[in-house]
Formats: sequence, structure tokens, C-alpha cells
Amino acid sequence: MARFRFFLIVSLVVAVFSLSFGVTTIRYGVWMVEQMDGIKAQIAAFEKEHPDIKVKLEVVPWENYWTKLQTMLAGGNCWDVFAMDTGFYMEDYVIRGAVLDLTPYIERDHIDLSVYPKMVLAIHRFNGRYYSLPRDYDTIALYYNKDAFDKAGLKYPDESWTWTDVIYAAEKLTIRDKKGNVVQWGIVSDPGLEAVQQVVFPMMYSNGVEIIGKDGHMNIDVPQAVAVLRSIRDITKHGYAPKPLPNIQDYFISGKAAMMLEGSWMLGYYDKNIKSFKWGVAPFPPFGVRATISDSLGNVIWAKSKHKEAAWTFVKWLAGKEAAEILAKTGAVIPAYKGTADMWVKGFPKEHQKDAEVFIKSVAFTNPWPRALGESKWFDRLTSYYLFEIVSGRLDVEKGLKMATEEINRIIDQTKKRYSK
Amino acid sequence: MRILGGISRKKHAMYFLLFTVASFVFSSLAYYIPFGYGIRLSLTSYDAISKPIFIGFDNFKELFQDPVFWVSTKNSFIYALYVVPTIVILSFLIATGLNKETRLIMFLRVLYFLPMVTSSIAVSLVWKWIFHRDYGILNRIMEFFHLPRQDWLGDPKLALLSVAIVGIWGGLSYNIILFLAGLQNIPKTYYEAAMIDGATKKDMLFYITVPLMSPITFFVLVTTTIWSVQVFDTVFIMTSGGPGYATYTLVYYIYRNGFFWFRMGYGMAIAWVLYGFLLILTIIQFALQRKWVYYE
Repeated sequence: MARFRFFLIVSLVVAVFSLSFGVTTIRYGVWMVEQMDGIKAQIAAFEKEHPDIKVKLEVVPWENYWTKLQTMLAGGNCWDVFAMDTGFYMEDYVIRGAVLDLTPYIERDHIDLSVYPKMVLAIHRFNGRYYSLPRDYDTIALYYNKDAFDKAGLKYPDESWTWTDVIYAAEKLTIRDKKGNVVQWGIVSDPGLEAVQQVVFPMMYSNGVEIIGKDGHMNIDVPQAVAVLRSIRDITKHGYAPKPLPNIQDYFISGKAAMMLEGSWMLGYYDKNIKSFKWGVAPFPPFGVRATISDSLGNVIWAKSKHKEAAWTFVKWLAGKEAAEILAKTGAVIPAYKGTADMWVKGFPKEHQKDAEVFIKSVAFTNPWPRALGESKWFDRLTSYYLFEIVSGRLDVEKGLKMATEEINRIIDQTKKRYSK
Repeated sequence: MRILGGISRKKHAMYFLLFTVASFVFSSLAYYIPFGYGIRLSLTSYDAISKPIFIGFDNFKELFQDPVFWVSTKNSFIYALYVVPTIVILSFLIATGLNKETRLIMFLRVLYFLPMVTSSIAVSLVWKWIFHRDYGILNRIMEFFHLPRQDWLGDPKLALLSVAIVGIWGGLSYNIILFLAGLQNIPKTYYEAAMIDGATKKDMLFYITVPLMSPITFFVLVTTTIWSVQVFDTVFIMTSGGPGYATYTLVYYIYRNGFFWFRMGYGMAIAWVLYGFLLILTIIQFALQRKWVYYE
């Protein structure tokens, strides 16, 4: 009996070793729940090509992703590879040395960077170094409910529309019941028009505001920015758009909004999930000149990862053509790799291919996400306090933007001072 | 010591060591060590990723000039003002009502205790829907009674009150149990004697129940105060501190600094000030208890 037990243990040990021998397991953290199919397909394809590397996927939704990430970094036990919102938050992690500088790897392996659009690549460059490679990019445009426009007898939005046309249409499209409660909003974002990425920043760009100046400071207390916020606040005050809510709410998908300013990342989701009405997409309506805004995601490597080579192999593959094609087919986001954007467009049914093209064509006049030090903090303060209060009508536009600019620049300076060494 | 009566001195010492050392080890790991580490970190600029830099009392200096810190302090204490008296009075009254041994009452006791064993995150999520501006059941009820709809969580004047309502609802059950245990400890003979002397129900409540319950009331008061000033989970789920600063509380502000803004050191400093506030408040409560708490 004892001998039998001995054999059992030995054979188990051998089995475990032979399974794990030569196989490196890397942990991969992401938040993009709506892109799960594509991410899982990518991992399966990668593991097939690289049998010596196993990828363990860990998904944490956006609301908790950044706190979880910061806690894991503090605890010294983090994902080897994780998704990074490069425009928004990368700099905060770069200055603290939390992510690996990929430049030496890129040079060593002769990675061709010309396959990515210039504007997108710029988002991933920090003082001439790269910490991530472009995975995808996005632009913002105007989604509209065709049924609502038909009912109101209005012409659909097109590239000739300006912000004035939007206000005019929003008024006509706002429908109230007898008690005065809104049944259909004229225009929404998520849900109010205080949304920074989808409304405020692209409109400021459109009105000639240099959001972050060359000196790395914020300039949103200028008259052009005040004009933008006044218009947004007035639309809200008239009740054509909902007041800001502390929680995200999609009025468009439930047919309770006629127009919505949203990103390209929602196209695939709407295509699959909106069945009860017809809809289309028009370019971002200019407030001044034609403009929109772009952000880009990338995959980064934890600076203290024990499996840097395996992680790099994975990150390199994720930024390559095959990974981009998988992403394109699932329709979730526009992949950054040259030529795959077309695949993304063709992946949609005929009726929405033109809508997808609107987002691709917007690249011609897009602006990179404005980046400045301390964004984890100032972005939070700007959105959850200043813009929220200004658009709700509780804080004067001019005064609010002045206060916001002062506080944000203070945060930028503090961060710069703290990490200058 | 009665439990250990009749055992040898050696065994006695062994039990003493076993119980105290074990509890000391666990509380050190979970409490004293982080506590001390927190003091050290509160004197640094620490982003939880790179090495902390010693900056002396700069965090505390900044804190006293930080308007958001003061708003959060104000909100925490206003929240406590909403919650504490309501909980003490309501849970006392409900406990008196539940202090009977019929089947129905036993069933009701379970119902009243349910919030205690429900995840506060789940509770907050449900309440978020109840309070919803467009689809919430509370606004439907308001409409039914021809009252104006309210933006419960989006209006800065109402948001803290709405969060407090959830706090009161969630905090009642535990305190009801405490009061109930206290009520059952009051000997029935006191009431019988009072009845013979011709005391009314009201007299019995104010001259027997209330004074005999005062030690429990005091305990409930102190723990509820500490618990309510430290409110976090409901704020985190229901409002994220918004609208504006309207529901920023001290613990939420600590969390925001430490885990969102890379300012762990500053968060620790706030935690220490919060500790100071609660200590002072508790000392005051202990000083005042001599005037009203009656020990048998």
C-alpha cells in the first residue's frame, strides 16, 4: 500500500512538472467588458502560435479598474501585461515608473511604427519614448434616431450640420407629456452634455481652444471655452438635454433620446442591440471649425514583471496585424494597424457601413486627447465637480472655468514638482 | 475568572497566554501594525507605487487649507446628525414593540434583522434604483400623492439626506437587537411592583425602562456615532461623492486621495485627523454620560 501511494505521488509530481515545464504564464488585465469576444479570440490565437506562453485573462470593469490597478501596484503583485487608456492616464504611470519603457525592445526587434496613423502614434509617445504600442483609436460623432426625426418631419443630420442646427433640432425633438415630464430628449451624451470626451473637449477644439498649452498648463478659462460651456448649459437649462447625473445612463439605446454625441466604441454595441428603431451617424457638428477628438488604448508591461520577455512577445503580437484583424472582425473598436480600419467598416451590415465610415473619415480633422501631468486627479475634479456644477446651472460659467483652470494648474504644478527628480 | 476556578496555576497561565497572545497577534497584523505604519506614511508624500518621500507635517498643513477636506468634514458630521438621533430613537421604540414572545413578533424580529445580514453594496444598488430620478419607485409614489418629483441623488440639497435614509435603514437592525437584549434583562417584577403602585404605561416607560436601558443607549450612541461619521459604502455606490461635493465624506475623501489620485500619504493624514475627531467626540460623550447614564 505504501509503495502504491509513493508511486501515485511521484507520477503526480511528474505530471505537474511536465505540464508546466517551459510554459510561462502571464497575467493580462483589461476592463473592456464589451470587447470580451475579441480579446478572448486574440488570446486563443496567440497561445496557438506560442505554445510556451499561457495568458491568464483578468477582467475588472472600468469603474474599479484603476483603483484595483493602483492597489495591486502598491502591493507588488500586479498583472504582467495590462490595458492602458494611454491618452487619459498613461503619464501618471510613466512618471512613477510603474510601466516598462518599450523603446529598447522596439529598437531591438525593429518594429515598424509606420503602420500606425501618425496622430494615434503621437498619443503613445512620451518625451520620445514608447511605453505602449497603439491597439486601437476612437473618434466622436453624432448618433441620431431616424424614427424620431421622421416623426418630427425633420431632415437627417449630415456633414453640413453645425451646432446651430443641432440646437434647432434638439428643441423640435424634445417631447414632454401632459405633466411636463420629458418623454424624449432632444440630445444626450452619458446622459448629460457635461461629458468631457464626447462633448466638452471636442467642442472646445472646434472653437479654437488650445486646451493644454505648449507649457503643459490648462487654458480653459478663455472666452472661446466660456462660449462653449454657455451653449451647453443653455441647452440643458431649456430642457433639451438631461441634467448631469452622477451615474451613466443610456437614453439613446432605449429610444428616449433623438440625438447622442458618442464615440466609435459604441457602434458595434448599438449595431447588435438596437432593434426597435432605425438610426444613423453624422460627423461631429462643428461649433466653430470642424473638429473631433481621439484617444487610443495600448497594452503596457508592469515594470516589475518577472516575465518581461514573454510579456513583450504578447504585447508585440497584440500590436500586430493578426491581432488587429481579430479586433476588426468583432466590430468593437477601430484597430490602429494600417489597413485594418477598412475591415472594421466591412464587418458591419450594409446599412451601417456608411456610419462606420463617418468615424474613419473624422480622423482627417481629429485632435489627440489633451495630456497633462496629474490627470488621474484633475480629470476627476474637472468632470465630477466643475463641469457637473456648471452644466447643472449651479456654478457660473466664467467663474467656474476660472476656478477649474486654477485648480487644475495647481495640480499639474504639484505633480511636476513632486516627480521632477 | 469563575470559569477557570479550580484549575491549577500553571494551566491558568497557559490559557492566559494562549488567548491573549493569539488575539494580540491577529490584532497586530490587522490593526496595530497598519496603525503605526499609517503614522509614518502620513508624514510622507507617497503614491503607493514609487518610494515615499518624507515631507514632515506638510500634509497636515495642506489639509487645514483644503476646502474639500472641510466640506467632507461638514458632510460627515451632518450625516451623523441625520443618522444618530434617528437610529437611537427609532431602534429603541421598535425594540420596545418587539419585546413580546408571540409568533408574529418572532417573525417580525427576523424581518427587522434582515438588513444586517444583507450586503451593503447590494442594498446601496437597490436604493439607487429606488431614488432614480426617472424610473425610481419613490418618485412614482410622490406622483401618486400629487407631490413634485425630486432628483433625490442629483440635487445637492437632497443627496446627503437620501444617503442618510439608507444609512438609517441599514443601521436600525443591529441596534434593535442590542436594545432588545437590554429590555429582556429588565426583571418583570419591577413592572409588576409599579403596576401595583398604580403607575401608567407612560410612567413605566420613563421611570423604569429608560433609566435601566441607559447603559445600552449610551453604548448604541457611541458606536452609532463612530459608525456614521465613517460612512463610505453607500456614498461610494450611490453618488460617488456627487453631485459636486454634496456627499463627499471624510472616509470617501481618504479613498479618493489614496486610490484614485496617487496621494496615499495625504489620505493617511486625513485618516489621522478623522481619528482625532472621533476620539474627542467619544471623550465628550464619556464625560457627559455621568449626567444621564444609570448603572445598577
